Amino acid sequence: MQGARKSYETSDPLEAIAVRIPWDGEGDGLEAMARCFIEEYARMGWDPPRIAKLFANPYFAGTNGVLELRGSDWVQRLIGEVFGPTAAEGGD
Amino acid sequence: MADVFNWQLGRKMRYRFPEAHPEWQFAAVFNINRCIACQTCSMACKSTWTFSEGQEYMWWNNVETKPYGGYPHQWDVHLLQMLEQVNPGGQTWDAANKDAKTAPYGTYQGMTIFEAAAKQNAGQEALGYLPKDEDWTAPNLYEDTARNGTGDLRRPKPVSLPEHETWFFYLQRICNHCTYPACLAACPRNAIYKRHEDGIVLIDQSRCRGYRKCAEECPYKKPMFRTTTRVSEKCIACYPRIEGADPLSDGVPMETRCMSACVGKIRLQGLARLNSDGTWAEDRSNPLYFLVHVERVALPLYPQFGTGPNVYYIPPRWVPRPYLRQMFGPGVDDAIARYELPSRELTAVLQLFRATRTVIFRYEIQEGPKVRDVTVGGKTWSLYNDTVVGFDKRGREAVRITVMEPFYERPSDRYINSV
Amino acid sequence: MKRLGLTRGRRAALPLGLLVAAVLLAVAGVNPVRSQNPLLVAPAASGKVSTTNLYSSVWDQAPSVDVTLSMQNVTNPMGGGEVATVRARALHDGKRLYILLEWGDSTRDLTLGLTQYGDAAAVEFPRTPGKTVPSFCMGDVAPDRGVNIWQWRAVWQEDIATKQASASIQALHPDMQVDLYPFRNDPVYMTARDVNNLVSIPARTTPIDNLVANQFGTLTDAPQQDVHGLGEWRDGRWRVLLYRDMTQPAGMPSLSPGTTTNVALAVWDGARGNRDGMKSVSSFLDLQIAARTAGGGGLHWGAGQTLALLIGMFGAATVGLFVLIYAVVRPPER
Repeated sequence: MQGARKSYETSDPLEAIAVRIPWDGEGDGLEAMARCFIEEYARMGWDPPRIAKLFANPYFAGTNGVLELRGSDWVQRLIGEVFGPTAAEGGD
Repeated sequence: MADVFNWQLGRKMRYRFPEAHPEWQFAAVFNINRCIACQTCSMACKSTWTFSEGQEYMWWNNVETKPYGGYPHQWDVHLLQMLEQVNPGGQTWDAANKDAKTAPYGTYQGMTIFEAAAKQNAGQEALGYLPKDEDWTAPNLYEDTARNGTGDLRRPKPVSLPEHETWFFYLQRICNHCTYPACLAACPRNAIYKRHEDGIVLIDQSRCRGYRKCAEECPYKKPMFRTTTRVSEKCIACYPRIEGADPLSDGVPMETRCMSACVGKIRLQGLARLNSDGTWAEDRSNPLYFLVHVERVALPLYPQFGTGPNVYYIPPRWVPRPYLRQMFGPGVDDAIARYELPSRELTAVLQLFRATRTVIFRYEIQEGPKVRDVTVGGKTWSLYNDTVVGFDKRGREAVRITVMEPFYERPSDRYINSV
Repeated sequence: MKRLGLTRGRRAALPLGLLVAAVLLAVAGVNPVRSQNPLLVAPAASGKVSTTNLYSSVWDQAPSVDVTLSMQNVTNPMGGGEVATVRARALHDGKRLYILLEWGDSTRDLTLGLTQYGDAAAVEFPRTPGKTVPSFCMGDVAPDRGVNIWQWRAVWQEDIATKQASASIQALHPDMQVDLYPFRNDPVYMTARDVNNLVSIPARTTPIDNLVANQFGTLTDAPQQDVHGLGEWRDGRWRVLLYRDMTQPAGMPSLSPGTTTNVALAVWDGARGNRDGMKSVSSFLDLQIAARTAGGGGLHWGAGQTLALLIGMFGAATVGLFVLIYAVVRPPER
């Protein structure tokens, strides 16, 4: 082991940096984000039931928060829009 | 002084040495969309090559956060600014003047670092600067620090799509083993050479005398001075692996440490066959050729510097385009459009990333059933469960992988910790 | 005006006059063909030439030359020129040739950090004495037009003084934290040191590299590293001694007593980022290594003796000139 004790550096304060992005709970902010989630997972090959679980599971705070705010019908509608007519079949 | 042809710029340009090209060129594609900055690549490199005295500050592979970060600090904006000073307002592309083979991104109208040095009578081969000691600290300074469209962090605009108002991304960098390396041109003693068998650029440790003209003139700042041995070192592309000399490799080329270790599966590295004029030889079933020259989803990093870098990037979809065009050239919009809704073949080739650490020289796609159609961004996109097979240098099967990952679900009513 | 003609008498007088002049010039050791270059003379020393005391009085015996230096702007990388002059002296003792350089440098620079460069100095000889090599140059491509360079670096002087291969990283960065250097004793991880790069060798025996070159970019280690010396920085001036045995390894320039050759000088100021071609450099001087050896009544070129010789030469030249004039201008005999 070697080295002196490291002194506090003002340029590296080890602060958490977060950016607040305001939305007023209506219109494009939330829906766009939720749709984005669904599209991304759809692109990775996830099927609608599996994606729905992302919203249902409280351990996924982001998506679950959307479900809490908008309800599961709203979420299902959105999933249906992304998957089109195949959503009803549940995909493979 | 010579005139050499640079296909990334779509024109000839000035270089110290006459045109000469290796038979094969070490090249890689990095998918920025997938990087999580876990730094496993950086640690893989460090624990293999740069763990000794004098190398403490060296990250031959580094991952930095854009826009504010850089290793060394502000390496790119500093050089862009120097070029702008030499050629104010002139660093532009003529994106319309294109040719699929010889000018795929258009024709660059501005000055390369070699041309700028000549114009300025800089007394050296390429425009550049030597970073200060402090510039090498904090390799991922401004990690996760986002750029905000309004400039006011307290009151940012809502996120917008597809380009975010508030954004950052990770940029992963190794030595680009350039086609026209600035370091090689800069070295007054010819202590840097480019290998004929794979285009890897190396600093001859017995010939270097520590002048650091390479460190000063490399635009990407990858040659690094070692104070204990008083010579410079740089990424060696794990050349024993590329040669197939590593015992793990079974005699065929294997990907480097930073590529193999990538957790996010963002990297695919291989060897591209070159024509004698430096353009890539037509090799339709080579995954790198497909990504760079057929789909054109992967673009060079700051091609305008003029060195012909051989690491190509799939640009991040959410970043404002002007920033990306400055970094990757005018091909950005097409690249993102093709990546967002990948073609059937591209979807399959993307599965090859990190499927094996053996270098894939050729791939084959065996078609599978259609999975479904989905609507993405208002457009229909089809997903097929194809199988892609990759072959090593000797034509043996190195990997076989499907687009759809096999998925097994445990019954969730039986286990408490099931998701 | 009388028409000039050469009678038999004049014909005899003319060559005689020239002979007198030539003998005088040869005795003085001046080659009239080279007389436009500055001249560095290395007289035979009377007494021992110390290799540890650079201020020894033996150096009073050596005439000094203030050599003008300029920026190197022939080839990339260009730079230097901040040091305007270097004072050069030379001596020999029949066994070794000693060159003493002195120049002003307000800071003593060693290559320690990433952006720090060290002070250095070098002398350059044509590898084949008498073969003209272009000035400001590192030799020419033809095999017999190469150069031999002795380069002293302050950092190597420091290595010898501190008996260290290089300043430890811990000394350079006291606050640094490192938990482990794996394979610390495996030399392969010291790369350049492991391949015996002269710049990196761990135990230097001399602060001077012996190098050869055959044009820009070809500088290479000479087979023998037999040039020695010492550099000291005192009150804003460097004084550097470089010396080598006069007996000649094959392929190296002959520097034995009686040799006439050329020498060029270069100085690097580390604080200005000088390195490689970015240096303050001179064009070639003439170098004359005196023929006689020490203790044998050899010529001692002190200032007083030089003046006396010049007066004597002037007198003898005047006589010779009269002989010439007589031969040419005297009215022809009938």
